[in-house]
Amino acid sequence: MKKFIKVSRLAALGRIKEECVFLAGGTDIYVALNDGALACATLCDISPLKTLDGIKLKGKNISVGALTTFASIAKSAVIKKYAACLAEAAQEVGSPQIRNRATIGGNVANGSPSGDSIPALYVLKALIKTNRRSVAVEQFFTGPKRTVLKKNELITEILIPRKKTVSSFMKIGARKALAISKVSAAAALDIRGGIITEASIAFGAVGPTVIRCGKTGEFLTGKKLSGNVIAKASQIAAGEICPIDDCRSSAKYRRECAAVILTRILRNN
Amino acid sequence: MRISFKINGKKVSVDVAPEARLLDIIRDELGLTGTKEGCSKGECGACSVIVDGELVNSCLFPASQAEGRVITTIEGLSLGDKIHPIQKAFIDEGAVQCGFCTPGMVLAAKVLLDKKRNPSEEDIKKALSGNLCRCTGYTKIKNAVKKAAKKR
Ligand SMILES: Cc1cc2nc3c(=O)[nH]c(=O)nc-3n(C[C@@H](O)[C@@H](O)[C@H](O)COP(=O)(O)OP(=O)(O)OC[C@H]3O[C@@H](n4cnc5c(N)ncnc54)[C@H](O)[C@@H]3O)c2cc1C
Ligand code: FES
Ligand code: FES
Repeated sequence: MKKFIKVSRLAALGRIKEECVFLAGGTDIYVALNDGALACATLCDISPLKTLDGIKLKGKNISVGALTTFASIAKSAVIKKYAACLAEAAQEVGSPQIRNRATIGGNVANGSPSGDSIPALYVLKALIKTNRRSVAVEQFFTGPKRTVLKKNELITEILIPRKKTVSSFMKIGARKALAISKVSAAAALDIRGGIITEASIAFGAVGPTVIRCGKTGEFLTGKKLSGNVIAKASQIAAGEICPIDDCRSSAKYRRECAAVILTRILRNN
Repeated sequence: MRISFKINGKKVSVDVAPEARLLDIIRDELGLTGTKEGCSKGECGACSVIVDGELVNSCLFPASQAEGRVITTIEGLSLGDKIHPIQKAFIDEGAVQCGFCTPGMVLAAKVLLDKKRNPSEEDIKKALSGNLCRCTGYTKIKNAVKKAAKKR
C-alpha cells in the first residue's frame, strides 16, 4: 500500500492530487488485496461520506446513494414499490455477509457485466451521478470492468425515475447463494389496459457490458402478454445478446438460459 | 493508525496498518482465534463476525472501518463457563464435525434468531447461505438452529 486516505467531506476530494482507488464496502477491493493486488495503490476510504448512504424520494426520482448496501436496497419499501427489479437483484447478490457490506456504487463502478444491479438499472433507465456529471446508465459502461469514470471521479448517487412500471429480475448461477451470474435478466413493462405501452429488457453476463434488447422491447410494445408473444420475445432476445464461453459457462448454455429466464420473468407479469 | 472499538463487551484500542483486515486484528492482535480463515475471498463465511448487529466477513472488512463499532466474535457468546444455547444446540444435534465452520455458523444463527423468533426452514437456509460446511451436509446444522429457536 502506497498511501491510505479517508475522506469525510465530498469537497475534500478535489484537493487530492494522486490517483486513488476508492474504498467503499471493500468486497471487491479486499478480495484483490488478499490476492496481493493493489500493492502500490493509494486507497481512499469513502465510507465516512454518510450523505451518500440511503434511499430518498427526490422530486420525480428515487435517489439511491452510492454507499447504500444491497441489504438496505433489498428491504427498502420505496425500492420494492417503484423499482422491484432492483430489490430482487439486491437480494440475489452474494450472501447475507456480502449484502451487508457491498454497495451499489461499488457494484456499478466495478463495471462487471455480471454485476447484478446493472441489468435492473438499465431497464429502470437510471442516471449515474458523479461528483462531476450525470451519465445515463447505458452510456456508463465501455467494456468488461471498464466505465467512463475518470481519475478520482466518484459516483455519488443513482437516480431512478419514479414510474409505475412492473419490473422483475432473475439470474442463473451455479447455486442459489454466492454464485456470480452465468446469465441474468431484468424486464420493466408499462402495461395499460392489458396492452404493453413500453417494454425494456436487459441481460447481464452475456456480453462485454450489460446488453439492452431494443428489438425485443419494440416487439413487445403494443402487444398483450400471451404465451405466443412471450415465446417470440424470448427468441428475439436470445438473438440480440452476444454471450461467450468462459470459466462460468458456455455461450450456448447462456443463450438458451437467457430465453428461459426472460420467459419466466414475462410469465410472472 | 490507532482504532478503538468494542469487542465482546470490552473496549479495545489497537494500532493497525491502514489496509489491515479485521480478521487479522481479531486473531493476531487480540488473540481471539475462534474466528477462522478459510478462503480469504468472502466465499466460505468461516471468518464471520457480528458488527453492529449484522453478520460480515472479517476477511473483507477493513480494520480501519471498525472504529467505534460494536463487534461480537464466537468468544463473546458464552457467559463464563456457560456456553450459549445455540452452541449447546449444535453439540446436542451433532452439528459439529471438524468444527472449522462452526464459529461462523453459530454467529449466523445468532443474527437470525436475534431478528426472528420463529424462523421458517427457508429463513434458516437463507441466513446460513453465506457459510460453507464441508463435513456435516447441513441437515444437522439446520436442526440445531431449529432446536435453539424452540428453546428460547
Ligand atoms: C463472495 C462474493 C460474492 C459476490 N457475489 C456477487 C453477486 O452475486 N452479484 C454481484 O453483482 N456482485 C457480487 N459480488 C461483488 C460485489 O460484492 C461488489 O461488486 C460490490 O457491490 C462492490 O461494492 P463495495 O462497496 O464492496 O466496493 P469496493 O470493494 O469498496 O469497491 C469496488 C470498486 O468500485 C470502486 N468504487 C467503490 N465505490 C465507488 C464510488 N462511489 N465511486 C467510484 N468508484 C467506486 C472501487 O474503487 C473499486 O474499484 C460478490 C463479491 C464477493 C466477494
Ligand atoms: S475466510 Fe472470509 S469468507 Fe472465507
Ligand atoms: S464441521 Fe467441518 S466444515 Fe463444518
